[in-house]
Amino acid sequence: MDTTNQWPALMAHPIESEPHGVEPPAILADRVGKAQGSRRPPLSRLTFRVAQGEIVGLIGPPGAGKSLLLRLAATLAIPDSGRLHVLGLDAHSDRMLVRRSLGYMSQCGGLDPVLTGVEQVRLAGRLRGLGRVAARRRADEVLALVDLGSLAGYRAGLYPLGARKRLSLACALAARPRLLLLDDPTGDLPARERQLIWAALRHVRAEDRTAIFLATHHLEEAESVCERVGILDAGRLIALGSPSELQAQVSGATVSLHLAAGSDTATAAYLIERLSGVRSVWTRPDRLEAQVASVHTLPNMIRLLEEHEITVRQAQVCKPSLDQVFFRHTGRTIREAQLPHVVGTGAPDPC
Amino acid sequence: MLYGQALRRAARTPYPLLGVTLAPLVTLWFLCQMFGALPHALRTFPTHGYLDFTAPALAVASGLPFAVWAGMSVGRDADSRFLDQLLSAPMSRAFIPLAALCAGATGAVFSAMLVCTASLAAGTVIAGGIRGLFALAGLAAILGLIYAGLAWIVTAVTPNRRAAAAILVVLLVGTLLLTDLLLPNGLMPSWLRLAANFNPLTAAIDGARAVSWSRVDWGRWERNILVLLPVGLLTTVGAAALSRPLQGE
Repeated sequence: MDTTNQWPALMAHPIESEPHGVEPPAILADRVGKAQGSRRPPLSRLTFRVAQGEIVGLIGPPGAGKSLLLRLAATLAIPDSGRLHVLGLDAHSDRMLVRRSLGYMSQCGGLDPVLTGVEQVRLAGRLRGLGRVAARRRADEVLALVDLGSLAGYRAGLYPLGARKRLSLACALAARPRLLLLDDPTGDLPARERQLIWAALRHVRAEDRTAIFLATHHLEEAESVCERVGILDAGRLIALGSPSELQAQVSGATVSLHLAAGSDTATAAYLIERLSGVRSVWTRPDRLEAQVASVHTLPNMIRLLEEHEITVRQAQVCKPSLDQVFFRHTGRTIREAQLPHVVGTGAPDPC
Repeated sequence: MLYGQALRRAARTPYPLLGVTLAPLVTLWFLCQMFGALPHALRTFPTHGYLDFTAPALAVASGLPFAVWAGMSVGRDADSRFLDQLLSAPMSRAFIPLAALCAGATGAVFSAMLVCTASLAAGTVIAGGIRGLFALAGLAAILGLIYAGLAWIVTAVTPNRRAAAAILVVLLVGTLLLTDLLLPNGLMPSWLRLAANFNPLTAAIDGARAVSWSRVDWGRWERNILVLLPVGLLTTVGAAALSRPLQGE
């Protein structure tokens, strides 16, 4: 399904040469393509831009190409086709200049387990051209920003997962980058750790007007913190826009039903799915969510469940989730969209 | 920066640290215990004591395990994804292997000097004096560069880390044994003597003995340096050339 003709209206700016005096976008991709090996579909004709100072998120199932896209922007890989400009410079031919202004955080962290936290950050700063004194000062600054001051003298290999993620972020921030590329910055971290990371990102964005382009599995996070969200599926950018613009693509309403404790959720989902006006049902750990043609379907749903002795504790009408936006474009959820030839074939864990 | 980071890493990792400190000394002692009686048993033995025979050879060879470990850093960095941080930095890719090779050479020199110090303390004499020590250090450095470079190349082209490690162990042990490190050339079978002629370690050992034994022969040392330098250059250029594929996927 080619949606490139469906969402131009959602793009902030069309692809064209920047007028004189206008600052270049942080990322400008024009029909970028890149093979992902024989087992995954290639990145195909990706066209988008990220403005300076903007936060743009990328969501999609595993194998969609999110990490590869970030690596292309980080000049760690070369596009097979199209053009990719980062901060007004060609990502391939001007890669040395581009790298001076970039901060990249890989999915696995990219840390040397033997170096201490402060050594890692200083090295990251020195590698990007900071002098010895400036690197030292900046290291202390960013380590305080990510709340790692107390662990700075310990080897990175001893850090718990949350601290390693924060240290990776600190390394990416070491040289005051104009563009931050973050591959799953919050991973499987608990809420407190995620809040620390986002507080640091908001700070650098406010202080330095740093653009942030990130890939994330946390759809709620993408909705709440990203100004725009791109949805990648099988190497194609199927949607790009602000969360509210994307949610507006999903017609009807989303209803959330919290059932009484001990209720048979599977039976409840089965019953609701067969109601007229119900498009799809998702079973969550603590509730059912249903995409419906109209909110007027809600009383029928509650009545049907109560006829089968399933009590509804609470019913809410919600905004559509990004998962539902994905479903609307592809006919499946992000979880269902995990590529079968990636899952269960022993494909190596990237970390 | 990368060179300092490589040395710091080595100093904090038990295997290479022991490899350049304790292991050479233990090996020296062990060999002297094993073969100490040989010079008395064989009138044709080239030196008066076994320590005089083996110390220069062990000095240049003792740092090779460390050099191989240093050269394998590309694999470790790739596995920990630390390599991404290096690759996304605005610097030439070639600095990444060069730092590892220099660290390997440094470790080899350190180990060589440690062995020399221990053997001097045990009573041997380096006939070339201070100049001889520098000459020994130069040989150890070039040899360290060669083996670190080989390790880098093997690790970079071998997708499986364990396979790379196995290849390098075979390479290291093989080259250590295919020399006159342990026994004089005259006591080796002919096929071993032939194989040793193609081993860069043989040239290094010969050069080390040339500046250590009573009849110092600087000409021999120079000839062996001229044999080793091109090999060192080749492995260094090869490692640097292999850093280019690290750029683009």
